[in-house]
Amino acid sequence: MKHEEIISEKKMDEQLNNFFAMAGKEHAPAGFTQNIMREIERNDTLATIYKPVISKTAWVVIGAGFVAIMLMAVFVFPNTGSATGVWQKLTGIFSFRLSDGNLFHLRHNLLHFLSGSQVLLSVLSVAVVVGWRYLLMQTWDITFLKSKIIRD
Amino acid sequence: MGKVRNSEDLQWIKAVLQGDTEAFRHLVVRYKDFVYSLTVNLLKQKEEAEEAAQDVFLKAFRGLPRFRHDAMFSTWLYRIAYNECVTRLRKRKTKLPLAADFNEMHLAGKTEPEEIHWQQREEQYKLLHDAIRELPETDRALVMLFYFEKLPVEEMSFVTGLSVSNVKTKLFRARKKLYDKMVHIDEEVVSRKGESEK
Repeated sequence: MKHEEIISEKKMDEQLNNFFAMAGKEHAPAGFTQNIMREIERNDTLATIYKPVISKTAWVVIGAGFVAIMLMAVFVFPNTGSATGVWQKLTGIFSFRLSDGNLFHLRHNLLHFLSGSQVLLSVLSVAVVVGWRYLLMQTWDITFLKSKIIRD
Repeated sequence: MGKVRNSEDLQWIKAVLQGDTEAFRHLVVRYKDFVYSLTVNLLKQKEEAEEAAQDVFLKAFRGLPRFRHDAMFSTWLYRIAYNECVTRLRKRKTKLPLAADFNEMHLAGKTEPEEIHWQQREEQYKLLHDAIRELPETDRALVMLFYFEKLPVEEMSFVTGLSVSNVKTKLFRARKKLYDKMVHIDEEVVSRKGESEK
């Protein structure tokens, strides 16, 4: 840009700044603020921010739980030796056999169930999931939690 | 100044989001004049401009939970105002002739102790707003954002949705046009005054 152009632009800016400073802004009509506040108090509400029911963290926890169960099925339980071994192991974890084949021997069946590996496995799985979630919250998701608290 | 203003705004926004609706009043008081100036100069109709300005604040209130802090609150608000005016102008489709009460309405409700000063101001006010309203819509908004709000080019780009380079070009042309008009009008006024004094 040429020197004269810079000077003329400066001059132009100065002049326009003076014009604007002299003229000033429009003034909102009297009662403008009151009208808005009245309208807000009457029927306006803040927009709702929709959050997914299952959060990102929860999905990670679910995924980790699933992987944990898969790993346990493969490594913790004995091999059945068949081609469909993994599936059998998986269904084996959650299957439950009656102690003497009689559905109505409730007390007997309950004791049999509690003494089985399913209970231990369930408690272990829940502990893994809860522990994993706690670990995630401590490390990754502090900012997410903070923003959630502010919004709530 | 801008940072201080923005941090105060953020405090009020936080209060509103925590349920203190009354805190929104501070934001309205702070920005009503510029928002109204913008809507008046873009829409050129007093009643519609007032309605539009009110809608801008109501929309801003409802949308506060969605306000992300990547822009200043004022910039975000001006963007809402600009979009509101553009939508209303599109609805009109054809450009309206200049409203008859446009000049008179500036003169209402002003109280200034010094009469001579006020007369000068009034004249300047009329001249400036006459010159602004002759600019195209986007240029009008840019010039106002630049001179009244001292907004940087990046923020003007956010408000209008134009690219930074486009804003720079348009702003320069608009300023030049406005300056030429103002100087021309000013010279006319001075020469007329000189003739009447003779």
